[in-house]
Amino acid sequence: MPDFPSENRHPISKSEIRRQLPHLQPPLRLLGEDWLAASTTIDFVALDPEGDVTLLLVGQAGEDPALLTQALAHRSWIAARLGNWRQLAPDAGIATNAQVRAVLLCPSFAPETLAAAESLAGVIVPVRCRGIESNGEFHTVFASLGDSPPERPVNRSTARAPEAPPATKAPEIPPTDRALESPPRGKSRRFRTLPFRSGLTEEDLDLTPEEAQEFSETP
Amino acid sequence: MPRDLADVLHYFMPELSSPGKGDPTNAPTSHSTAVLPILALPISDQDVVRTAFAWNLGVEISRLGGRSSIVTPPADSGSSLWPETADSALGTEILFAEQNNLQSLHRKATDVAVARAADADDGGLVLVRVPPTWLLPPLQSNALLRWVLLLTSPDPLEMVETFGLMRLFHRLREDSEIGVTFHGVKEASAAETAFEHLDQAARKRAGVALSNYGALLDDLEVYRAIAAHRAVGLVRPQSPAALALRDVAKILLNHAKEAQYA
Repeated sequence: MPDFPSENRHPISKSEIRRQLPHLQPPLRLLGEDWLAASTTIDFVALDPEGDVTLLLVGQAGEDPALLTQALAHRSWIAARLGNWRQLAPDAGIATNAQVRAVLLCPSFAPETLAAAESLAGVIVPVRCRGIESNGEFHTVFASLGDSPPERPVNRSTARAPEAPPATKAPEIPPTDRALESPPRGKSRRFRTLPFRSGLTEEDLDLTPEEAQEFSETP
Repeated sequence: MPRDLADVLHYFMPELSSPGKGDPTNAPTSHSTAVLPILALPISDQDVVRTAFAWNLGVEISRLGGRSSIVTPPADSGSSLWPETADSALGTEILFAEQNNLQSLHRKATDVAVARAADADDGGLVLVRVPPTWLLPPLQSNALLRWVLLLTSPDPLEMVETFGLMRLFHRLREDSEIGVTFHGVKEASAAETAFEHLDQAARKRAGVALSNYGALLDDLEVYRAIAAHRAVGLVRPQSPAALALRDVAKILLNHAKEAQYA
């Protein structure tokens, strides 16, 4: 377990964390910062390349037990809303079965916090984090203390991300998501069997190919 | 619950014990009416986006001083579609019909429209989520469909769907007034262009004139607020999207004052 020198320590810089997110392993894409959850804010909400959600919570020394509790609460709050978020932002790339993990960024962790995080099988990841001055420049240094992220199920896909790996089996797509899939431009879609967002089909709405074509090229 | 006209007649008849109420010359100058207008919004069971816009419009109507209530099928009770109904800070109420059918929805909406009219001096309306699949034959009742709001975006697929819905409503009730509000646009001009396209197609292919009920602008902060079940107008009151919501609410409220769709 690496430790940091006691000298030249500086408060953790959130701007530095934000800057480093795309360069972490796995790289994280920022969805939001200071995101108001149930009653307190989440420092960072980010997505990994698989479409899983990572919450990052920043704390100072001694705040790790409280941070753990907050992380569990935030994780639960976010998980309950992911289905809605996929509809609100279909292009964001949130996976259909996205998992939510929380990364705790603190200068140090109590043994109890680490034990609790370990018992949560990787959904809570403690990362030692500290601001250090070196040659007149400030840097933020990370050292992971927890487990690697949990195993991903094989049968999964991202809602919109083209870089998603091919699933071994076609995932079941809820009707609302299917309705968002645009057909090829200019192609006749008479008797579209997949419902629109309303749950109705072209047949239900008695649409002709000409009517469907009318809007295929929206000005 | 069986009910006939006699059960609700007192709502519509002048009270003899209340002098002057039945005299048209003493009609109140405020917009207080016997019944609030009812606005039907076709929104499917899983449509988070349109549902969120619906209750945000309800909140904005209340912020404008109007009375707003939302009536929805009982299957929505406990659903994440709606914010906590106990949250009185929203200024609008979410009420559930007794049964999952169109008649029950209409009955509940009418009851609420009558009950809330008494203290709606500055007008108001009852928004009703109508699951579109309930509109397929055999239709139980078209009573709810006098005034309809279609929420849509300029996405070609949604435009086709909205055109089809518009014609479906017109076929189910010829005197239905159908308004359209666009969302998913960055600028109002994009919504104007899309509305003109939709309106032209509606006139040409179905002989229906649509009403333009404005646009709800896209804004990341808005989606965040909606995703967290917080009213945009309360969380980000000065954001362009919140102001656009307010404009749409004004259009609806003014329209509700001008015409009665109960």
